[in-house]
Amino acid sequence: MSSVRLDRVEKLFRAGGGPGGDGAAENVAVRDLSLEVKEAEFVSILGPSGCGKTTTLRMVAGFESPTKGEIYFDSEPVSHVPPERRRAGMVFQNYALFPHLDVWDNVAFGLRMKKLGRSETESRVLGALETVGLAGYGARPVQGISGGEQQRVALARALVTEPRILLLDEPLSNLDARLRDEMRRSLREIQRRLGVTTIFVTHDQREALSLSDRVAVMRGGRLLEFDAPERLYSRPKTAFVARFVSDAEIVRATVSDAANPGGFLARLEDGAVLAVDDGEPRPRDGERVAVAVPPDALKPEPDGPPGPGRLDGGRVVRRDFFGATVEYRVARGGAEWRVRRPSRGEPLLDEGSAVRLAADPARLFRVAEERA
Amino acid sequence: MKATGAARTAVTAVVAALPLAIVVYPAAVTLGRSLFPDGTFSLGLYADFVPFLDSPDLEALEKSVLLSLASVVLAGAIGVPLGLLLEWFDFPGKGILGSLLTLPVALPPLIGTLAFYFLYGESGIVPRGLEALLALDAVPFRLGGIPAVLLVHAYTLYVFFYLFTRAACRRLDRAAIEAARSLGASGPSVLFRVILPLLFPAIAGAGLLVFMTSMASFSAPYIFATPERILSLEIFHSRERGDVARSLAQTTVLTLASLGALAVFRGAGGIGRAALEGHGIAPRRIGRKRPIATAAAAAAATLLAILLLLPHLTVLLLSFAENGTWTTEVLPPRYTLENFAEFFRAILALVREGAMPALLEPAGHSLWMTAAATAVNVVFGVAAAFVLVRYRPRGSKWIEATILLAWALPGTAVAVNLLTAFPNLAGTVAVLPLAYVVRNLPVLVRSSSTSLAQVPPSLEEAARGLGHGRAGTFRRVLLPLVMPGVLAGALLVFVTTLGEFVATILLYTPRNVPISMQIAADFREYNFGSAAAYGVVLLVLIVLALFASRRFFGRGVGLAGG
Repeated sequence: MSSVRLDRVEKLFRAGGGPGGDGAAENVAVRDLSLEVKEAEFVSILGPSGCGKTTTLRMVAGFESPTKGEIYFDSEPVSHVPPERRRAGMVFQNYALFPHLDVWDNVAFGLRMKKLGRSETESRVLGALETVGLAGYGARPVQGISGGEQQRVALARALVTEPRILLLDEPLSNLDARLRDEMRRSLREIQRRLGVTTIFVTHDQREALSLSDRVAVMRGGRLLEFDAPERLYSRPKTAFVARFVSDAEIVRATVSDAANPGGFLARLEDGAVLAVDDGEPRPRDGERVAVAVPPDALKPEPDGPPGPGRLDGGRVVRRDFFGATVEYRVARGGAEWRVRRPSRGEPLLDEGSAVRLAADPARLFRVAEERA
Repeated sequence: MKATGAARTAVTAVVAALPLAIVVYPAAVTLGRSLFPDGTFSLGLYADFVPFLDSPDLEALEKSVLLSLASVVLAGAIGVPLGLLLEWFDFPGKGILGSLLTLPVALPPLIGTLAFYFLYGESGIVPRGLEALLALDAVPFRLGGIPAVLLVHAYTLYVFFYLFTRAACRRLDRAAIEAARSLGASGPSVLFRVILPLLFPAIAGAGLLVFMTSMASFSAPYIFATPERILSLEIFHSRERGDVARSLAQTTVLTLASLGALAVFRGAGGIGRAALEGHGIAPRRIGRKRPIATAAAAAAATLLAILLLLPHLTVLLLSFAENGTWTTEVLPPRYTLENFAEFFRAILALVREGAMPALLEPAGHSLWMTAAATAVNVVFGVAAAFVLVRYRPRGSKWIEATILLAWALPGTAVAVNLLTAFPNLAGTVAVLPLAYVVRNLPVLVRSSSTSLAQVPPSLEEAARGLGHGRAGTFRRVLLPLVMPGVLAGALLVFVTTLGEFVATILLYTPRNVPISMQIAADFREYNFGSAAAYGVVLLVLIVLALFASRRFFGRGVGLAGG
């Protein structure tokens, strides 16, 4: 097991010669990326397609080399080490199993490259297949097994060589929903058990949050934030992460009373006032701020006197029922607000009904607006 | 094509019957007559093929098989690396080289063989040139016999390996290669353990095609290896000697060898499809950044391009040579426009006087026979496409199999089968166009079926839903969509048939001497200029047709070998 450190890594592609692995990533480069993954840590790189996450992973694997900067495994620089000598196990989005080999030979491939003895190869392949729950599948052709099983073979093939780090490129995206949940759980469980340093690339924030020790959010080739899932979700620092990870709406406001005891007051353009108690140093009066309003910070409430944190005159324009929760879109003051509520314990609102919202000051927080 | 029940049945019946009548039945008659030479069963005609007896027919079979295997190895050794090189490396002039590499396909077998004869043969340009250049007393080498045939095969047939390798490379999953590397496989390991195994089905497919084509090859053995015993040539010689019975056994053996290869090919094709279901990520081209390597690659590419173009250039050069003047010089000593001028004068005379000048007679014969055969092929091809793609009656597989048989039959076998099955036709002008129909049956069925298969039935349903009747839908929707593919196929069939030689040499009569026989006669009479001028005309037509068919059809259509 190794730690991985990216030190001010930059990747430029010549126009037209894109990385090809990430859909719209054709001309996107990675810019000034520094990131450290500790030994045995599970880190996700999360971002929309084209953000440079796959390129970053491919640089760690050795399929691309950085234009600038250096990548270290432990303290050893590896930028000029070819992929076959990096001992990085990779699991590909499309599994990339060798179609001309059966399950056993796919898993044994890396061991044969190491020229391991027959008995050791055998016991390690058996062990790896057992680890991923595919004992007894050795003689099957890889085209004769299901997508989930192919994914497990790919994982076994990467793990059997005891890689210094495990790299996963959107490995769950080709699986159907139920299989994805199951695979996610066993992936986490196996990673914990083996303690292998893991970098996982995904565009699905639920996957990233549930699997990782820490999540790195990328956008436009840059690392925006890198933090533990809980902190990233509840207190993102940037507007983009607040939107992408916490589903928050971002509103612009002017600070009207910085010293208000229940959180500073900020006036929206339409005149409504929010109280924000985010635990950070107070702003100055008159300062322009961007406030993130997560959907679970808002609550419909019966009529009452107007005041800070009260948003009057909203109307439910859409209701999406998800089972345990229900989400409303509330139009108000030229903006739409997302409201997420438990589906039991309070009456459901109908589309078209008028609603007044109360914002919980402790759930609101300021974010930095990134350059567009 | 009203698809009412009765019309459907009629069309299906015709589509099923024609291949039975002109492909299966003649082959069966040949087989039958070879097994029942005097009305009673006897394997006497096959006695010569019994192993361990030192017999001429067995020798011919062995030589043919060995020659074909050697052709496969040599063509593969050229075509596979070229395919890998062009697919994975970037160097200056790559695009042009990529197209030039497919040029040998555009050389009719007879013209190509003659070009090789003039280049490397007894008194060829290259041996004579080296002799003069190095001031030797004699030519340093001359190409003849089996090695010459092998060289012609390698030159014309590596294209199969090249094209199949490139196509397979494009379907190769790049992630599989990266997975191998991250598992510790270095360059050679990746090549031998992942890339080549994944390409194997395609390469094996090309190999079997090359084997079949080599077994059927006639022109190259005919020009270079006449004293040698090659099976396809032996059939011709048996008939020349009047030993018809023997030619039947030889034809049957040649047909079986071809069918055997085809059976293996179909089996391997099944494996191929499974293994090559790639995930659509093309391997990234490896650019060579080092200037020396780039220069070397460019130089090698240029040299290769010249080698590839030499036969074409030779034919072009010779077409300006004065007839009968070239003997032992390196290059033809005297040049003239006369070979082409003759054509124009003859055409003018034809237009003015309306009488066919003798010079144009072979062209006239080739034109009418080819046009008639192509017309039959087009009608049959479109009808068969509807039956095989849309109607799909029970037994479609068998119809496909009979058409496939026409593709697998060597040209020599097609000719012998027709002569055997329809003795009344022998010596008439009708038998040669009939042979052309047989040889081109599969090409037009394929191009028509491919076009029709690309038209989703929902389009027809949409047209019907918008109020067009069956006839209107066919005319306004199907025909415009299917016609380009059909025309592209027809064009190719037309130009390749104009120069057909293999079946022609067995079937032509004094009343329908076609272009290829005229070229062969000119060659024998040392009228190299006239022969080459005819060759140039054919080449230009073929290149134009290939170009047009690529524009319309997107990709080339297979050409009949020989």
